Amino acid sequence: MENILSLNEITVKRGHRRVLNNISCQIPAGKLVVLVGENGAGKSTLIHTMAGNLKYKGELAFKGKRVSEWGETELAKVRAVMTQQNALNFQLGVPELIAMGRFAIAEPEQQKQQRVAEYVNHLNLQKLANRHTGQLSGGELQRVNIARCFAQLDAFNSESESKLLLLDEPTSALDLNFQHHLMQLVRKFTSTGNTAIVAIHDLNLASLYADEVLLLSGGELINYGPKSDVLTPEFLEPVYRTNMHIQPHPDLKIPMIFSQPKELLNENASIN
Amino acid sequence: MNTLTFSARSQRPAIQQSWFESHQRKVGFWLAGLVVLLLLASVASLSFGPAGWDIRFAIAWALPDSWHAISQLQLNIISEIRLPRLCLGMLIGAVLAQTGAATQALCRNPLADPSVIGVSSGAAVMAVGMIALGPLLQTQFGIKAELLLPYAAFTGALIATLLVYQFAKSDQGVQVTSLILVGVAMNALGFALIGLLSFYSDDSSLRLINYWTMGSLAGANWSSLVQAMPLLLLSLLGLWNKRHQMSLLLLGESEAKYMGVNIKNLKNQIVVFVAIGVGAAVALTGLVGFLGLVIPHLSRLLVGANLKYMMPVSMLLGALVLLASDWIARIIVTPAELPIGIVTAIIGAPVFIWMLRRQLMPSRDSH
Repeated sequence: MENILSLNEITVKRGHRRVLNNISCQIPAGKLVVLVGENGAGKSTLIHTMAGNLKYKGELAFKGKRVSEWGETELAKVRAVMTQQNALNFQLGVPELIAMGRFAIAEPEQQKQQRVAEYVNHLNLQKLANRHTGQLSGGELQRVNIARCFAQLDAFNSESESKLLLLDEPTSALDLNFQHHLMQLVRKFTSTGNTAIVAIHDLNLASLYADEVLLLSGGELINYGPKSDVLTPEFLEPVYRTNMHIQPHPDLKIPMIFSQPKELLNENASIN
Repeated sequence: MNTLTFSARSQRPAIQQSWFESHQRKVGFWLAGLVVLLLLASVASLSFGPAGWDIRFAIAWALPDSWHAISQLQLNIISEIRLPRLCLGMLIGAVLAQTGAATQALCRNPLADPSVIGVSSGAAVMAVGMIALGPLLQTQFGIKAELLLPYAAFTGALIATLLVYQFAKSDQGVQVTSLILVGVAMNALGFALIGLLSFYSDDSSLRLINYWTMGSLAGANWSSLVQAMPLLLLSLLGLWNKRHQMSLLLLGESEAKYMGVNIKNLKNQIVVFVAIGVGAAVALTGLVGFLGLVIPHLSRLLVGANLKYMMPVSMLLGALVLLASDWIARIIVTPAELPIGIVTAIIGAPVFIWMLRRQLMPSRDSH
């Protein structure tokens, strides 16, 4: 299968600190890859590097061509990124903000508005469509930004070429309903040959939806592969410094992760 | 419950399209209103002044058939004094407002204004230097300093911008935080130098310096207008062309880049066009404060932050407010004339504070 992203010994420095150290992996097209790791593990840096916005040592190819050789517009048509930066100093109308995602695409105004309307519907944003960004909660703004990224790629138009979506903690402000809603949309997106790389803290959400998991810790790649290979106590316990217990989901036969800090186990033992 | 069925492309989604339509109607309303107000202000600006107050002036000028109704002198006053002043006022107002809007987008801060890149203080230092040296140049070399003043000011603006730019540039394009900090230092240095130059100036130069640092359109004539016009238009058109990209910049530099903006070029171009526009404006009229800060802000209150809509509103509003301020400056102490910077600051400062309050107070209509 074709690799959409190919990383070869990628090192990224911030000052003298190595934020990413010698990362090598091949990410095949059509997968939903979930990026996990502790705070400061380098997840955001990896996403910005993959997106072509950071200086790096090593080789990084997107669709077989070096990321640095892609032009901004060209890249924006096949790759969208949702960053963690959510706050806005300026107030924009919700449809207006989503329409900005279509900047790189030359299309008639009517078609642009049509696309905006479609992605408003996909993200269930109808009730927010007449508000401006100053009137949105954190989670609502996050959903609007996700809609903007989906609109940028016209994510659910399956006739188009294979695309890449990079989402940096898109679920951090979402309630349970919208977490699942979003992950199902992302899965819908990858089901047609597209690729998504999603940084998430919730290991069980990762387990429910990921095809593959990329585990980072301290700027190093700990493991990358099918979720059942990576989401194991062997790899997770050292990263999160917490005891882990893995059991299959009662209905779904998917591994679920239970964390049990020593302190709680001791307390429990003393009560019994 | 989540529905994952995807709507057919043909379905007409009513709500969102009506948002775009109603927003465009709103913008159209404001644009039309501002054009009407600008016309009225133009008529007032042509009709009233220290040399006479008569609406027939404007009417007569517009209709050559009725030129006989006013004297040749009056006709000259209109075509040689008031008309170039009107044109200059509108252009400068539009340029100051638009460069303000661009600087705010560049800094992603609604409280920025073009002086953050050091351009106005650079111009002021050179202009004040020229005024202070005026008597010396006149007696030693027979050069009239006031003729050189606009060129000196423009050069000063560009030098200051280049210096700030040198300190703030990086391989990602100009770094906005450094730009602001170096700009602040530059402004402090500029004011110190102006103080120093004033300290060594004689009384008549001092008066001129004082007048110049508060701005005035009184020097307007066709020849200076014709010289500055290309620069002012270059700045206006250059920034106008970037309005869509600048809107994306509001979301953040990385975000704009990810949506397809060449962010490095964009930031450099904004700095260049702002420097050219403000440099030319300051060279012609001295320092007219507050316009670059307040007008974009007011425009955002009217039509939102998207520069696609905000920029035309901002340009018209800037032209209107400068014209109105100039008109007030001219008539309020006839036959003398107030520096226009005093008028814009006296009106601008309270408006600005009101806007700040509005922004900082939690809005009552929040959900």
